[in-house]
Amino acid sequence: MGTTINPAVSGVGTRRWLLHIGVHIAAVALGASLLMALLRAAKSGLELALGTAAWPALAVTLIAVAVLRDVTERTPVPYLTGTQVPEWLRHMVPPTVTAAAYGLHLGLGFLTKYTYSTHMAFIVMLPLLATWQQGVAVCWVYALAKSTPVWASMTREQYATAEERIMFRMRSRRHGRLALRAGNVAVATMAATFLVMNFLGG
Amino acid sequence: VTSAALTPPTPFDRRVAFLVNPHVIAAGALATAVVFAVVMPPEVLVWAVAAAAIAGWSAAWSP
Repeated sequence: MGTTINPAVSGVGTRRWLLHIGVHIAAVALGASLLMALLRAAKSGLELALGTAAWPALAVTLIAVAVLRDVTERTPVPYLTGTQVPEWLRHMVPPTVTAAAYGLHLGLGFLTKYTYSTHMAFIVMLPLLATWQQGVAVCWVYALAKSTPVWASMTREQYATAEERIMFRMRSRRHGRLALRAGNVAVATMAATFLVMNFLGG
Repeated sequence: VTSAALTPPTPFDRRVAFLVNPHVIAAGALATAVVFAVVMPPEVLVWAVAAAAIAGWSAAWSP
């Protein structure tokens, strides 16, 4: 992810680079918050039609599907697989606009390729939060975490050398990737268990 | 490309490398799962924050 976003929002002086990172993080949070608004509306509709247990049941089902995807790599998930943010955009608009557009795109989540099951767990739990303010706060946590590879690559004045290092890690740490997938499966499974115990336990 | 072919890491490289290290992220996720399995926090907010942080952080490994 960082290798896609970084070239679009870097390559300038430190102060402007920081501005681009800030814009990117805020846009991710906004995109996730917009998704939350849609999901809260969907939850209300489901509750009217099928009762209060409908959303938790759907949430657990979706997390289970995502966990299966992490385990099998074949289970279909409701994401635009193989899609990333539009490459052409960075050549058409200024970096600040690119940072905002890419952040918004990534924040919505389902418009780019699937990552791990914890993303599904995070998304489906948003409508279950007590207030929308809590949801926005959680979206900011997600935005800060998702932008980690962007701000971590500030190690270099030239982005290319930072990307070289990130890509080397991605190619050479297969066991790390497997461990990461296992970690995500564990957290998503625990989240589903929590939902079953607290929202579907009768 | 080998690690030796890369430009030498700067001190800042070394300090932030853990942020994009899959083993570190995985350890964080697994530790969260174990702690939550034992404690079972009753608030959905706590679970959502944990899932959001791990989902976002793991995205570093989704090129």
